[in-house]
Amino acid sequence: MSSLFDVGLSALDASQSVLNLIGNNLANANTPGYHRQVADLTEADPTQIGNVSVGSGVQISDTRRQIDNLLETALTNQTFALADTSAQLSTVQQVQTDLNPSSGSIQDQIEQFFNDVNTLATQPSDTTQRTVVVNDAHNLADAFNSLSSSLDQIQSGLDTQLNSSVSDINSLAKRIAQLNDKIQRAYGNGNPPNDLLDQRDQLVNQLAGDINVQAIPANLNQVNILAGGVPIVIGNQSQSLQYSIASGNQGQVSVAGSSTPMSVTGGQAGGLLAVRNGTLQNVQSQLDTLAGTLAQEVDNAQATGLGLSGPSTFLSGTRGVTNLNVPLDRAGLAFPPQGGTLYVSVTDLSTGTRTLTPVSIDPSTQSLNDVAAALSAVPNIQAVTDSQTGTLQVLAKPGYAFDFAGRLPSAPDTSGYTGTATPQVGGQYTGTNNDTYTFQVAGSGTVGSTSGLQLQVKNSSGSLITTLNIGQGYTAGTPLTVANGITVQLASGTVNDGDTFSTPVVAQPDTAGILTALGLGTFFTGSKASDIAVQPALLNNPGLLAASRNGDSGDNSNLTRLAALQTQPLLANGTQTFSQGYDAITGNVATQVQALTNQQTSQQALGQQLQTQQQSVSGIDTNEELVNLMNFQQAFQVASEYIGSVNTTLQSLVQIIQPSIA
Amino acid sequence: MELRITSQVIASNAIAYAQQATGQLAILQQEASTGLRILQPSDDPLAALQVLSDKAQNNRLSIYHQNISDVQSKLNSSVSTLNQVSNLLAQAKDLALQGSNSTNSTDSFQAMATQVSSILNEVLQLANTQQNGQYLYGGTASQTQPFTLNAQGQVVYNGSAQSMSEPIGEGQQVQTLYAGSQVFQSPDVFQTLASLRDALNNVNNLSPGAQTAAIQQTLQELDNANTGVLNTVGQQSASLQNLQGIDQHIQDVQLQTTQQIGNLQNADLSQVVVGLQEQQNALQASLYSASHIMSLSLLNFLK
Repeated sequence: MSSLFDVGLSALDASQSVLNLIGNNLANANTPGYHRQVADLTEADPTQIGNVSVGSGVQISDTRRQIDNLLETALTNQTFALADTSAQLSTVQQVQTDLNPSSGSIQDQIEQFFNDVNTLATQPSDTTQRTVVVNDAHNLADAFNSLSSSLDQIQSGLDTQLNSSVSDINSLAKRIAQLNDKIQRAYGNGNPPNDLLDQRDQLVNQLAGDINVQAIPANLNQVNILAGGVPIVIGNQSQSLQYSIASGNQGQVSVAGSSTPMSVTGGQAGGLLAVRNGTLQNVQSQLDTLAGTLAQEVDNAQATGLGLSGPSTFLSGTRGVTNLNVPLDRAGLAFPPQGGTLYVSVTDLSTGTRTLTPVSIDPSTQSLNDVAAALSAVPNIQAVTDSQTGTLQVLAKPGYAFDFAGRLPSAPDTSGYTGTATPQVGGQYTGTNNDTYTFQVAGSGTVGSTSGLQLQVKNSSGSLITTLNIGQGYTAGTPLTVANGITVQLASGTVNDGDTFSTPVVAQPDTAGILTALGLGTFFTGSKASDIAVQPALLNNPGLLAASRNGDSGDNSNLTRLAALQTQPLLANGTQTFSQGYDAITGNVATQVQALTNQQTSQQALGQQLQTQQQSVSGIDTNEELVNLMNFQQAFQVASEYIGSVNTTLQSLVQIIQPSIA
Repeated sequence: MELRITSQVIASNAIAYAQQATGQLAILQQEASTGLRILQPSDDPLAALQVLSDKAQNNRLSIYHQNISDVQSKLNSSVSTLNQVSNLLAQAKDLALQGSNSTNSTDSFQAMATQVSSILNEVLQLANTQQNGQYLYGGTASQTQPFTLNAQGQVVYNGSAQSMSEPIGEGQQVQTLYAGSQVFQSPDVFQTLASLRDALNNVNNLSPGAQTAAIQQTLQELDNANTGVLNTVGQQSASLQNLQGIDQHIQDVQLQTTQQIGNLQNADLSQVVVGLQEQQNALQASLYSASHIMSLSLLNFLK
């Protein structure tokens, strides 16, 4: 008889449980990560009464989460991929903004500098315009410095993120190892530990968001984890990773205590490393190349020209060697010199007499001390080295001054000359190669009167350049054109057959690049984006700007050399100008921003799609729950009614049989 | 299986659609208010780089244009100066012609000599013409007065033998400050005038016949000197003509480049406005539908 109550009670119980479940579903309708739960109702085991099997009510066999594991994994991966792309994008966007401020990008400043040099070329002695040019260079150097430090800041920000990403990986690995242990024990007790399995799956998914991982099922229901090919979880043991910065400023993830980098290709760490070691380093090094090449080229021109005050009496190098006694090509110079010749002009300030002395430079054998000795061998100047800074100082003896503009000496070398007619070579050499012109007298007699008296001019390889008449028909003391801007004249007097005199003619006074290498009389100090700066002396006195090559204050020929750098392809193996080089950096970054933005957009779309699918399986629809609610509410009411009826029925029965009991 | 759409999906989709439409609206609004479709290089990397390089080129051309103006003013000033010198030399030639007539009295010879002397002074002044602090005929020594008188009263050249050239284009230069020794001393204008003056003054006490011969000799020299001066005028005029063409070309290229920059970076405003309207409608529709769908609930119908 009581089974009648039991049936009713089971219905009440089941309805109540389902209502509870519905309530829980509704309560968590907006809880992130909540999965809809449904109850599986089954008939209770029937009771056998005689030959008849009678149902004994309803029971809840299981409550299940509505979950599609594949979909969940896809959604997790997508979420982390999106986070990874977004992290990369925000870094690259930051770089793009730094490269292209709304006004005054480095490209603008490079152009501004050269444009102002071109303007100065119309009036080279104008002090105001000289100040403008020097300030342009100062602003440009500043812009390089601040861009470089912005990139450094971005880099250290990435380092911080990578450190925290690695410690996140370590803590996840540790927890997975702990769960492996618990799961193994739980299985030992005979029950599948669903909650723990869910937790471990969730952690592995999280780990996949951090780094490329591989989960390998192992014995005893454990999972081993390989990250970047390296086992970080084996059974209940985990292995810590570390983030460090290796030589060449390469960020790397490795097993703690080891210096061998792991191959990190995925997840947040992979993305951050790619940006740090890739994009950011590329931009930094391209920027360094740009700043370095610009400094080097501008320095070469400045060091071999002349400022308003002409030759110097003292110059101090600003680029030092690491060791005064090792050959220069192993002395840590940012702009290593080549084998070549430096032409040193020394002017006697009282007479204006100028000498021109070639000094050979061989960086494979000569140390800085050797170079100092070679320079000191030039009469009336002295070069000393500073062991503290590794720099070279050149000073003129009192009454003398020196320069490296390669002007013709005041008098040719007349060691092979016996005549009385003083020869003089003049003009400004316009050739492109350094050479020596040798003048040889053919015939003996008096300049300007002896018939057939000639002067043969040959270059250093012995080829005849021209033959000039210095006999009858020549007016002694008038300049004769030789070639390439050079003239020669002979004063009145006699010459003898075979007499020779010679002079070096210099187009490139420093083929060794030693002045730039040592920062002697250069425009800039420093050699890369982070340390390039205008020479303090030049900044204080724009008159030092070497506009001239012949020493005239109105000469702009060195400015012409400087201005030509604007449109010369000096970067990327002679394919890009400075300005184009900067554009190329910008272009690479812009293309990456564009690609990452597109990637982000498509990942977001995919995310939305996956979200919809996931919600379709696991989401709560309030209307659906309401319908179920009404359904089970009615079931509850009906069960109550049923118990009431049974009760009434049983009471009637009791009343009928009561008298006999009483 | 039919996709189950829950109210959360409707809500999150409504948010996503609204965000998309708002994002698009923001971009279009930026384009509408700036008039530009490229605000960052990544908006269109290729076009952005082209714009950067076009702008740099235009700035360079502006400098060349300025330099050409400077060169033109120097050369124009020089041509007019040298034409004055040429006129003065013609006047001197007239005086020489007059002087070679032996009927002149000593007084009139002296008067003529005084005139030649003042012509010489004027030419000397003209040869020292300055423009913006630069001597036109000192070559690269443009800060030094090119012609001065020495103790013997002779005109000497203190300038440079090297003329100054100015950049007017990529690798293009034009001579502006000529070496005075080339302009005035091949042949020597001053010496020619001085010998005419001396002949008229008959400083060497020559016989009338010999004096006339000496004066006549300067006629040819004056012609040669004038030709020398006019040679420079010819060169400078040719440069000026050439510069006009170059300047015109620069302006044409600039105009073309400016147009190209516009085509590359300017937003198509009519398209932007239409786009704005479209996105606005889309946003309204999405918000409207979301609000209606989301207000649907079974609860509204249960009572």
